[in-house]
Amino acid sequence: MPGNLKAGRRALALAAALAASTLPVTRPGAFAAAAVGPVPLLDVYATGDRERALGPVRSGATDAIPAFRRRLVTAGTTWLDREPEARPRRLLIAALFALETEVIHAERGQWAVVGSVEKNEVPCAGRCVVEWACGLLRERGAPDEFERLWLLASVALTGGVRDWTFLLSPLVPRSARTIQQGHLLHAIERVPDEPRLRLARAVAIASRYGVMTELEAPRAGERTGSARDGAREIEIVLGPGLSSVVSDRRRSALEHALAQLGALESDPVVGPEAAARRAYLQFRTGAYEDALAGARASAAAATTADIRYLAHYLAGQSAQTLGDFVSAEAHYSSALEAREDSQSAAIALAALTFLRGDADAAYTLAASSVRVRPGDDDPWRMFLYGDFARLSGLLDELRGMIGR
Amino acid sequence: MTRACARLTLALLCAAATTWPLAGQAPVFRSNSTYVSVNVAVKRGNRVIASLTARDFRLLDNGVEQTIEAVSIEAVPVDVTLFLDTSGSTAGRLDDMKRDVQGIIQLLRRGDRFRLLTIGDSVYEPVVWVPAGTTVDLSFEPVGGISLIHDALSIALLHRPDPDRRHLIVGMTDRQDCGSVIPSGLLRELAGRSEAVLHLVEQSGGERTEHRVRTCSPTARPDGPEVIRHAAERTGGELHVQSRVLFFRSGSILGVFRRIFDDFRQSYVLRYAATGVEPRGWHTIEVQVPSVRDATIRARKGYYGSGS
Repeated sequence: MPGNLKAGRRALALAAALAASTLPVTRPGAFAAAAVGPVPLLDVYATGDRERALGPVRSGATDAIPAFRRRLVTAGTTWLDREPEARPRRLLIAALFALETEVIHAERGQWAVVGSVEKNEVPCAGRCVVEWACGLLRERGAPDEFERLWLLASVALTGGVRDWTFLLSPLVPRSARTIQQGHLLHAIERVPDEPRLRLARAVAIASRYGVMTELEAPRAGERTGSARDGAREIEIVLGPGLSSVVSDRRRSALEHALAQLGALESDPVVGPEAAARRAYLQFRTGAYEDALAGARASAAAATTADIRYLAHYLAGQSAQTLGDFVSAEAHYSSALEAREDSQSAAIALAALTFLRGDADAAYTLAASSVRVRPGDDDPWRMFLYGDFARLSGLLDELRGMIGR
Repeated sequence: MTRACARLTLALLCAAATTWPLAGQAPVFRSNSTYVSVNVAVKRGNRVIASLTARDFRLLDNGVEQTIEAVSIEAVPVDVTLFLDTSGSTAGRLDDMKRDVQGIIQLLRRGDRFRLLTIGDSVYEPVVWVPAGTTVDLSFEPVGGISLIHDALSIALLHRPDPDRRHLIVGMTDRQDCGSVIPSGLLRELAGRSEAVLHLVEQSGGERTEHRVRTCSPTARPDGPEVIRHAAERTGGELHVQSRVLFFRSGSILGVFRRIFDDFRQSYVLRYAATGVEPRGWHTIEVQVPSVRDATIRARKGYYGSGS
């Protein structure tokens, strides 16, 4: 490309950027994120008009997101300095705005959208915005309640998009000298006493087992198992020698994940959830008796309806797989006592009831499970997404703290 | 039309109406310890064979021939469950879908009922059993992420229609389940025990975005789509595959549904009291129509006897 043409394009881009940054921010709903860029939106967000600030982000085109992110982490820093005396507050506003934009991007499947190499765009996915915002909060010195909640929210969002390697990489240390890194380690360094962050680390480590289990059709009185034998498949592909190496590595990874969760089981805040997650790992890996015992212990210790529901649901799945339909039905019923009509346990119970021959009761359960409960997330449906179910509440708390 | 002709038409309609079984008088068709009922569709090529009677059918239950009664489904009111896979991939088609759903409700006959199931983060029932002809207010939105096809179909299969009614399920889906509580094997079992007839219409799959909120977690489900097809075939239904282009040209959902519903209405219900066979356990059913050469016969593959 001739030099003058390049220069002309640069000038045009600069003019466009300048024009965008001078757009009046008071015109309601008149701009799109891509056209305006993040700085005017930050101004609107700072006034407390959250909906108007985030509206353009919601309606923005996917291909404009890399530029939006890049401008946020560059021009956003300039915005902080525009009013030096307000900088401490602006840091909070910018960090929360950044997180809110990435929540929207994640909901739209745009968390991983990065710039195009052909267009010389700097790759900056959702991770990079979260890291930038995390740095803003660190800059303020000792961590406070806002930062603690923000860290929990950012970890919850990352779990929602299952970007585990952003939270921790590698998930399993290969040797004592392996250096792990990731957003979670920064967070734990800042708030070492927060048990939810330690649970999040264990969940990230266990995420390699966060696979929905495809089981054979259950039979009363018979132990049933996974429809696939992963170890056998590996042996067929790799041969017995290599497959034993893989099996050893899988076993040590599993032991590492179980140990991480086990260490948290005595924690008064996250202990019952850690036990439920440990039971799920055991269930996933075919240790159904251990899973049943662990899930029962979790149910007994649970202090919230959601964890009690989860624990009973997992106990029901374990008992069902062991062929003990009576126990499985009892656990699904207990889950539904904790959370009436929640769909996962209701469907599981309806299926067993139907197999038992009570079609009328099965029908009643199935019919009740589709009752509409807006915003009421079934804990099992959210189980494999870390702490994502708590994100909405965390964001509300953060908004309240900066008067949004 | 002349007045005489109109009078004749009216008289014929009245005469026909009096031969339809009224709700209270219709035969009770339900598999229980005594009676088994089986939906049967008979075609030669693409042509539905109508006007058959019990004498045209031969039914074997675990290899033992049974004495059957037969009635055309035309005479039986139908509960229709429409399942729309609204898991993200349908974004952009929602307005068409809403129009089509309304059209489907208008297609049904007096006495038929309709409900709609959709999926997002859960299985939803945006239209709860309404009579034919009802105008419904639809406001469902597509939700990305998990795709609870097994769960939705299971809920549909567990429906218990009144004894004088039949249940038709039409599912529009890409068959790519993820996140369901019901595993493949169990879905097949439920289909084998349900009295509903399940037809599936293949919808092209949408994009599977990595790192989307609540995106599909990986599932060890090697033959997922085939399992759903097998489940439909176990009920006597089938998978209808069509190209993406055809899907849009054929009046989309409404056009496909009309074909399935018309065929269903021209099918039969065979009823019999199982004799000469052990009541418990799985019963294989084989239906033959000796009077129709080269007939394609679709019927449920069997049923579980009570106490199994």
